[in-house]
Amino acid sequence: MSARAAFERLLRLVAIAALLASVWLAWPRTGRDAAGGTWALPLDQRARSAALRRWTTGPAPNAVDALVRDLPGGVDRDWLAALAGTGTRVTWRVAGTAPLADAAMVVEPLPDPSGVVRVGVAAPAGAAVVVRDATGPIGAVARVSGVGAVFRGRTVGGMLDATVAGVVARVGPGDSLVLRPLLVAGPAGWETKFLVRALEEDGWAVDTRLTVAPRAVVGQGAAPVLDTARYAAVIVVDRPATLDAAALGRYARSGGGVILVGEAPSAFPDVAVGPLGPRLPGRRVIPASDPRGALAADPIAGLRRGATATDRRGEGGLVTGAVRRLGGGRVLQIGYEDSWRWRLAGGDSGMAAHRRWWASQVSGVAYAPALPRALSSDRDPAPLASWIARFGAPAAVPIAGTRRPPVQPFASWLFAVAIAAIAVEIASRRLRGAG
Amino acid sequence: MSRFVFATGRYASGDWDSAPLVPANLIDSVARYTSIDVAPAGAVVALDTPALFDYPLVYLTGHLPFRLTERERANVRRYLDRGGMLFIDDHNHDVGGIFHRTATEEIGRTAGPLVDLPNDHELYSCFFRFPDGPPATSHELNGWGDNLVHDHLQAVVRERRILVLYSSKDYSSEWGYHAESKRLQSVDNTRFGVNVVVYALTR
Repeated sequence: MSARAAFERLLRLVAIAALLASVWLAWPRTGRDAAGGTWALPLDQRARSAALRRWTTGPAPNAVDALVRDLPGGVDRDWLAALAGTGTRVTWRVAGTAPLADAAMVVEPLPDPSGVVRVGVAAPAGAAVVVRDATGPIGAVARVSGVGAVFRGRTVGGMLDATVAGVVARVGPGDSLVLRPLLVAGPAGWETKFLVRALEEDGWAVDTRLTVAPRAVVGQGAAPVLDTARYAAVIVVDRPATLDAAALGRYARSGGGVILVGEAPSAFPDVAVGPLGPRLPGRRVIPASDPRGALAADPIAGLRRGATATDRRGEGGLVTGAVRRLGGGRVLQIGYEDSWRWRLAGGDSGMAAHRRWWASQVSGVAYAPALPRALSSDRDPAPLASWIARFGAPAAVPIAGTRRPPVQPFASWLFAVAIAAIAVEIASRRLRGAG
Repeated sequence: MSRFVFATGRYASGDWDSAPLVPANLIDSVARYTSIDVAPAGAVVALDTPALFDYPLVYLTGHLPFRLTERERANVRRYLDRGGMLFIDDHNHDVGGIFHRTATEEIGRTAGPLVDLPNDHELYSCFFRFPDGPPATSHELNGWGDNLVHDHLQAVVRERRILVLYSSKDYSSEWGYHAESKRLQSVDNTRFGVNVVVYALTR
């Protein structure tokens, strides 16, 4: 026998052996692995999924010891929990010395037509938190200084992820909000004009009732009936002739949002957060670093019980913004005069900053009933908490007698080797003219 | 809130102060017919200064060539982008005149194309009602200037709002008298000026 014929015979033997091995390895393993016993859950994702599949389709082990580096995803966690539910004891430990980050997140849609959400992430102090949607990060990376971080930004919808030291919390976009129009009432003037424009640029539909003469009101939109079924919020500037104080109070108590600007607190004292104090003069130049600090202001002289200051000015901490509950609604009192100067004279960024500020003020009080959205099965708002709820606290030591499951065989690779060996063997024979 | 101050724009070319009686007359009308808190005296503001941004409505007029400097043009563009409004009136009441030709060219370069403003625009109904559009001036009716009654005002409009209102009707001559003389008129011819102010303050 020539060397070439011997080589071809060897190739045939390799092909047959690889073929048999691959078939054996790929054969359903039901009953082949030992039932019972204690097995380690592999760290590797593929091996872990294979082991779970094997323990589910075959006899389940008595106990599983899970050594985790990062928390397994929701599917593996639920699968392991299902296994535990059938009687398998599951314990777990953390690989390495660093504890797993305890992260949890919540998403709250804000009443803002531009789709702004507030995302709260609870995380250990010092941890870096990144929140992202399908298009990328929302806001900058936050370093937690207390018990968590709050993000505020626009999203495109879909799921939101918060990543803290490798642990990924995931939630959906939250309920949809019904956003009704706003009503702006006050004298015709630059403040009413430019706050209406800022809110319209933010996406709000705005009805107006602007007094231009004792019997002349310029308006857009329907005749104002103060009702939460019609308006999400009412913004009152100075002393509008078109609003009835009792109706405004009823509107707020029924859940509506009210914003009082300028002298409006004096016109509606029963609704106001507090009386106006002496006026602070404004400055000619509006710096981008502290634009509101340059505006004339009417600070709030004394807050009603239960009111909360939202804005302060100067070293004395004079209150220039405060909010309180009134029945089911909220009343915000803004102590700034002529915020329109911020938009026009506040530099290139003034217009956008003025718009964002007004949008944030409105979203803080606007009435926006929620339309509940079905919860996504993909959500995982608190991964570590969910893991502990299912499997308890981590064990200090592994369960005695733990065995490692067999390494996932590469049946497909063996099959490829068999085919290659056969091909080479046939080619060799053909080339030397053998049949 | 601060008072409304009627501002007249000062520009480097031409005769920006050709109608000195108009501001006081319009201030009188605004105070007479409306409850708008209007300052008793107007202001003059240079178009190339930051002070322009303190006056969201500025009135411009003149007889002579109207040409902005680069600095004025850049400042006016920012002003219009942020919400300011210009009311420009041709003191020549003549579409072939030098002010008209240079002003319309400058407006196109600075703010965008002028279009005829429909005579049912809210400008003509936001306070006093002018069902036929802009009121004709005595200069038009007497056949002065180009011997035409201009049927429309023109405007640069962005997002349904007027940025620049341009008139060839010579309201600057029509309104250029002492306010006390209104008692001699059967109909106050400055009423349309009140509409311009109310429109600027409410739209």
